[in-house]
Amino acid sequence: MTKKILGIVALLATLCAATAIDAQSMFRGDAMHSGTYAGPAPRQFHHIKWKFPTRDRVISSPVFKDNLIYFGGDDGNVYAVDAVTGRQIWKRATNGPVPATPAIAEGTVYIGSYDGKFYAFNAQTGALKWKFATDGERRFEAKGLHGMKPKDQTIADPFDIFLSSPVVANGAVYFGSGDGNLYALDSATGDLRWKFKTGDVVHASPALADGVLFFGSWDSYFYAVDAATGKEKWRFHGGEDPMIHNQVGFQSSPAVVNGGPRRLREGSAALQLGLAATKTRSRQ
Amino acid sequence: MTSAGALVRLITILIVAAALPCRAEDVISGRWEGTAHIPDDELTVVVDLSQENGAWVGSIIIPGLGLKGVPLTDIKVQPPDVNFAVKGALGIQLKLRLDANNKLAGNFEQAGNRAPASLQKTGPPQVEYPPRNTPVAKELEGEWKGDYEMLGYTRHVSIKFANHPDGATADFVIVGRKHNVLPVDLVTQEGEMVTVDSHEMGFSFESRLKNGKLTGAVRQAAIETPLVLVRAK
Repeated sequence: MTKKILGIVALLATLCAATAIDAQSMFRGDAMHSGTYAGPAPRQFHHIKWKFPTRDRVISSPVFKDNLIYFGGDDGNVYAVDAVTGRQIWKRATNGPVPATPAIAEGTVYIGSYDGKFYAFNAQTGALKWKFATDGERRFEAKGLHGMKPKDQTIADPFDIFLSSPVVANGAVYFGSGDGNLYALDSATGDLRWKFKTGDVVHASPALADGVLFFGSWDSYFYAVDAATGKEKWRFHGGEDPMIHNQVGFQSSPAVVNGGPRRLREGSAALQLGLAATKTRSRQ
Repeated sequence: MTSAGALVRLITILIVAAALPCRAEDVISGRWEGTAHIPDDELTVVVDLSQENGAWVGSIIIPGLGLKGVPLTDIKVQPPDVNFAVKGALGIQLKLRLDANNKLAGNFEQAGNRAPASLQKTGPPQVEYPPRNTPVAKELEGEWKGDYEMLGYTRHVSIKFANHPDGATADFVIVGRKHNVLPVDLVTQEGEMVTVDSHEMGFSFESRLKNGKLTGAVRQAAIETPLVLVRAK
């Protein structure tokens, strides 16, 4: 119960911020995940204007567009809420939690669910435009994870709580999946353009700059992939931890600043890629 | 008293008499938020009540029980009493009374257990409505057939779509070792996307209408199997 209340409170705080920002339409504001938004930032939080109850915690970050706020809920729903009144405009059910941040483009909401599907909804009405089936969602898992017993049993990582948030550009939508792929779909039809296979779960959110997608995988590699073709340009090997699999993989999402990808770490300055090649328990 | 004066007095009484029950119902209509004090915990309860064409409609949110926008049934509003049940298997009922402080206070009841509940009006109603059947395209009307395999043997599927003034219906039949007629409660078409749901059976068919085929999957609980339907000859 406390967890859910915290979820609602966290959502409220972010919603207050989102209402003052008109430009945000995907995770971290843009395809590079710069975290830069047009318009003035709120200087002070005065009071709760409204609150919106869901059935479960909210991990997804809200996205603001045309006076509506969009977000996913761990209750399996995708929501559109009036930013002024807090009234629900629409909700659409999926068959799994939705701990990803939606992207809004061309009047369409794009978001993935733990049911292994990726959805495109009409932003105004919530009508389903198309749905794409990945090979399935799952958490990162390993034997003896974090030193937990039994050591010979595969254990799903309880800290792997996010799903990849999509980025939309050039008529395509890009996102990672628990099936180990980074997908590129036609944003209008949902048809597969290409998919890029990594060695493990991809729950980080890809950043796009200069036609190149940057993202990390739980296979401990950080990739740069051509957005048009899906061909690998380079990869960077992070840390390995064969004993307890704690310091492996890339869970956090990159941002591209001044021409190069940097990893985001909550509450601290961005770290240069390569200085800390191990997994961070940071917000995606 | 003149006859004109009596008429004015009569009209005034009638207006006041008519306004009284309306005012009470206006008070009940709205979003009500509060708690039910179950042993060792408090359940957050959000109730939306509204009148439509003279009938009461409503929905409820109880995050602690995993309920969001669940329809209310058996709504009885006889101010100051407000009673209703929550649709579904949980068997929840709320029996409330509007008190002098304009709070709805009473009991939250489930499976013979009672917990005190108190709700305060926080704004206008935000009643959630369950999805409704939509019309389907003319080209979808009629019978569609296909097969899928599950647990090692083939099942034959037939879905017959028909349009009606209040939306489409579908006859959904699966023939495997048995002849199963599924009770369909939701048929929707949104662009190319066509969905047939039997919530009672936990069974659904989601598909895309393209190139004269319904290409999709049947889903039962967590099991999903591809299914392509073509028009029956």
